[in-house]
Amino acid sequence: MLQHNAPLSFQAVTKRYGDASALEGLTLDVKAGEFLTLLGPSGSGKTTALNILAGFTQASEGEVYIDDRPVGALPPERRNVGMVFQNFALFPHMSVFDNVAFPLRMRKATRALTREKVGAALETVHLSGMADRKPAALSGGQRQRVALARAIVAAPPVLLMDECLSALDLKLREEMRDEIRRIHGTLGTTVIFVTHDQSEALSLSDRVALLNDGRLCQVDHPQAIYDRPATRFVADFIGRTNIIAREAFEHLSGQPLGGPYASIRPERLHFTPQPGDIRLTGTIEDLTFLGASIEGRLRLSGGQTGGQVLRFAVPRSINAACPDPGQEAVMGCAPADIVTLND
Amino acid sequence: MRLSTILFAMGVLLLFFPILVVVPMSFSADRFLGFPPRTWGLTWYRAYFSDPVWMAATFRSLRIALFASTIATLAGLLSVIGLGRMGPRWRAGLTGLFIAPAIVPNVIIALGVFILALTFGATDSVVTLTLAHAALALPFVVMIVGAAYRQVDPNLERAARVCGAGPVRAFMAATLPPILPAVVAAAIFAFFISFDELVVALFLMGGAETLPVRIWNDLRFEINPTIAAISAFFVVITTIAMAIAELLRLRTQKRLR
Repeated sequence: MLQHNAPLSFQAVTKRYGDASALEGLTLDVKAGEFLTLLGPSGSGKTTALNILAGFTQASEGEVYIDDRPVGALPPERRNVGMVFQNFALFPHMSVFDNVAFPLRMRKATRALTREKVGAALETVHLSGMADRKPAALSGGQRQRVALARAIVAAPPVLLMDECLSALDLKLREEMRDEIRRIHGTLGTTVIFVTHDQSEALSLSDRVALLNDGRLCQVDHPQAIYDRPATRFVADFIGRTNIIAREAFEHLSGQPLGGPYASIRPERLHFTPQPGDIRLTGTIEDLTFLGASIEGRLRLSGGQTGGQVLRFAVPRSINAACPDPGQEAVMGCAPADIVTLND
Repeated sequence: MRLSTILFAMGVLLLFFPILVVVPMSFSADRFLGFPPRTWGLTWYRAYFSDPVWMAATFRSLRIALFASTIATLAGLLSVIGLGRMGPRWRAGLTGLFIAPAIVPNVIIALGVFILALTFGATDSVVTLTLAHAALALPFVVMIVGAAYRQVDPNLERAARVCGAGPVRAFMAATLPPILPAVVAAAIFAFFISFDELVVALFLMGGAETLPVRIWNDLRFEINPTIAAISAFFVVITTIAMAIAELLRLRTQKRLR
C-alpha cells in the first residue's frame, strides 16, 4: 500500500488552564514516516499534546503543522488523521465492518471502494472473518485490531495512538506491540504514540520524546535516550539507574564532574575493575539470582559517600564468583559509562 | 410467610386497589356507579366511544400530549447535550433548575402559567397548555436521557470526529444510537405526564376540555360508569406504554454497559 506520509511539527505549543499550564512551549519536529512516542508520567502533558494535534483541544499559544500546513484553526474532522483511543472507542451499535467503513463513508467513498478498502484494512490487522460481529462479541485484542483498522482504513498520513495498549493484559500487549510495529513497517505512516510505559516507548519508537510537568525533557533515539539521558528525571524515568551527587562522585573518583549529578546504570558496574576504572568499595547487600544475571546492592563505605546504596546487575559468570552478601567488594565502572546529568 | 413478603403483598395490593375496583365497575350495566356491579355488560364502553364530547376531549388530549412530548423530548435532549459540555459548577446549578418543575407542586406551576397566560392574553389556548405540559415533562426527559448520556463514552464522539464527521453528524452517528432507547422511553413518559395532567388544564382550559378535565367535570355533575370504562381502557394503554418505556430504559443500560 503506497501512501503519502506527512511530517508534522509543534511550534512553541502551550496550553494553559487558568494559572496551571498543561503544556509549556512544546517545540518538536517529526519526520514523515517516523514513529515518535510521547512518553511521560500522568500529568506530563503528553495527552494534552495529542489532543491539540487531533483538534480536541485548542492550544493557548503556538501552532501545530501537519504536512507544513497550520492546523490550529481546523476542526478534528478536517485534519485527516487516524486515531486509536485508549479504550478503543468502537461504535457499539455498529458491526466491525461498519466501524471500519465509517471513515470511508464520511469521505463519501463509493460502495465498491469501501468494501475493498475495509477488506484490505481487516486483512492488515488479521481480522478478515469478523466483519459481521458487533464489538461486544470481540475479545480485547480483537477490539484493538478493529480500532487500528478503523484508524488506518482511510490511509491518513498521520496516525495517533493514545495509551492504546494499556487496556490489554500483558501477553496481548506484547503481541499488539509487535503488530503495531509490523503495521507501521507496512504502511510507513507517521505515528505519534502516547504512553507512560517506557518499555513500549523504547521497543516501538524511532524516537522518544520524554515530557514532564508539561515540558519536553529530551527527544532522541531509544538507545541514545537510555545511554545518554540529559537530566536526572530522564535517567530516573527511563530504565533504572544510580544517581550520585557531585560531591560524592568527585570524592569517589577524584575527577571533576561537569554537572550536579552522575548516573551509572546498574548493568555498567562489574566486579573486575580495570586500570582507569572508577573504583567503588562497599558491602554487598541483597543478592538476587535471576538466571542469566545477578542483581544486588552495594552499600558504599567510607567518607562522604558512606551509606549510599548502588544497584548493580552483572551477567552471571561461572568463573568469576560473585561475593556473598555481607562481604566487602570492590566494583568498577568505566569512565565512559558515567553520564553527567543536569537538574 | 415472612414479614417482608406480607408487607410487599400489602404494598402491591394498596397500589393496585383502585384498579381492582375500577376494572370490574367498568363492565357494569347499572345506571349508576357502584361496587360491586349488579348487572354486567359493555354499555358504558359503548357510551364512551359513541359520545362526541368524550371523543373530542380524548383526541384533544392525545394531540396535546403528542406535541408536548415531542417538544419536551427535543428540548430535554438538547439540554442534556448542553449540560454535558458545561463546566461542573454550571452543570450542577442548571441541572437543578431543569429538575425544579418536577419538585414544585403542580398547583403552583398552574397558577404561575395562568397568571403569565393572562398577561399575554393566552388563556384558553391549546398552545399554552401544550407548552406548559412540555415544561412539566422536561425534568423527566432531562433525568432519563441525562442518566443514559452520562454513561456514553465521550471518546465515541471524538472518534467519529477524527473519522471525518462534523459535530452534528458525529453526535448522530456515535452518541445518539446508544441513548436512543432512553430518548424514546423519555418521550413515552413525557406523553403520559401531559395526557393525564389535570391541574394546569383546569386553570387554562375553560371551553375546550381535555380528557382529565372532562372526567373531572363529569364527576362533579353526574356519577355514571362511563368514567370507569374510560379509566379501565386507559389503565391498559398506559400500562402497555409504560412497560415499553421501562424495557427501553433497561435496554439502554444494558447497551451502555
